[in-house]
Amino acid sequence: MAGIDEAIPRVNFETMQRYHGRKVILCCQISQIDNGTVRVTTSDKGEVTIVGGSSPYEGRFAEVMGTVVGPTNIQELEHTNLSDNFSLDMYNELVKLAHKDAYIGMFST
Amino acid sequence: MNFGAYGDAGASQFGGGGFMPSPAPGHDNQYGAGGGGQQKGRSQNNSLRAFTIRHLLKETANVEDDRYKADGHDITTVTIVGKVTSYREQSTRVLLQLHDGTASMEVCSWVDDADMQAQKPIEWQVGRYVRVYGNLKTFEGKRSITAFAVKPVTDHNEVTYHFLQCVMQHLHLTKGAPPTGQPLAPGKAAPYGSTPAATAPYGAPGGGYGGAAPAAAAPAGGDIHSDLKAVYNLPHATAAPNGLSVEAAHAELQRMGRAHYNLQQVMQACEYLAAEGVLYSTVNDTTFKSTGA
Repeated sequence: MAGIDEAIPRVNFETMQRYHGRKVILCCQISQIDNGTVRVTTSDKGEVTIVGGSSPYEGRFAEVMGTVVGPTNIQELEHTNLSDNFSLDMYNELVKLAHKDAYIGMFST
Repeated sequence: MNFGAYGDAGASQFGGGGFMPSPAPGHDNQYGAGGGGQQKGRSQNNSLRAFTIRHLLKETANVEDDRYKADGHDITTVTIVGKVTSYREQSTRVLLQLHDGTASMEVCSWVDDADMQAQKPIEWQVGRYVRVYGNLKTFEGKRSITAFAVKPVTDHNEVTYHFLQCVMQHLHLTKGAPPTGQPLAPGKAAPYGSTPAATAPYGAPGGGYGGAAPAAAAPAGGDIHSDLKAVYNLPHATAAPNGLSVEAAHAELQRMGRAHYNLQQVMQACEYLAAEGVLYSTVNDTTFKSTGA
């Protein structure tokens, strides 16, 4: 639609697969930080590796914005550290809702 | 985290008077002729609606004058939550670009005192999430929001909550309130089912959902709130001048086949529904009537 720019959909592991090559937002729980790679658990219990982040990850949860480069890989553009009371369950419900045919038009199409 | 604002909005979120923080007097002048006209026509019908930017843009895409509508209802004040992607200070105002994951929009905030001006750069940094309250404006064909309040988001659950609220309001306005007397269909109940357990503080915002709250917030042990609401909305209950006593409601529930609720549970549920604005007490503390919410 003219005038509306690109959506950056909020995803979990399952919905991430629809956006290969595209920018997404993934809220996740941090499981391990290695040298420049971060392994995370998604809100639907998937495992994803984030590469390319530069600023530090703090706390248990993060919102990562990046490009999906593989079924379990995201190239980070930027991330936001989230407080420890972040509800991944509620986020997961939102992701599912936002991808339903009835509401997807409000979010990403 | 302060969700008090949602509690106040309550049943009046969907138009029809009530909560509406008017812009500070100093701001009225700066809305210009178009804005002034808009407010005159709307003084009786202020509402506050949560939008995703994409939904807001799509709904108002073909509008020529200043009367914006979405989901078939007039829009007055909108609220959006998004990440600041650019920040520009001018002499009398601050221009933000917000992206909420669905689309991007410009937000203009008029700044009156030097005090407020100093605060902004810290709270509204690029990359931070903020919540904006304001009115939709069009300038040279492009939509933007003139904000009268911009608040940093401190608890990221507010972002999730905002989007859920967008869907909920859209549903409510296009399909009407959930049917009384029937438990919410599993598909609809699912998004709310997990939340009371997952995040305890969300008991409060449930009130902001108006009619949907009692069913959505019901404890897992049975949908007593929606059953009770159905009882109080039966024709003979709404016709009775004083409504139904708790005992009568209990008897109705048993007639409906809900024999597993005891009188005390029914009493507690009535009190809960009264606090939610679904029922009100009439001649005494144990007799209630439906508000029709």
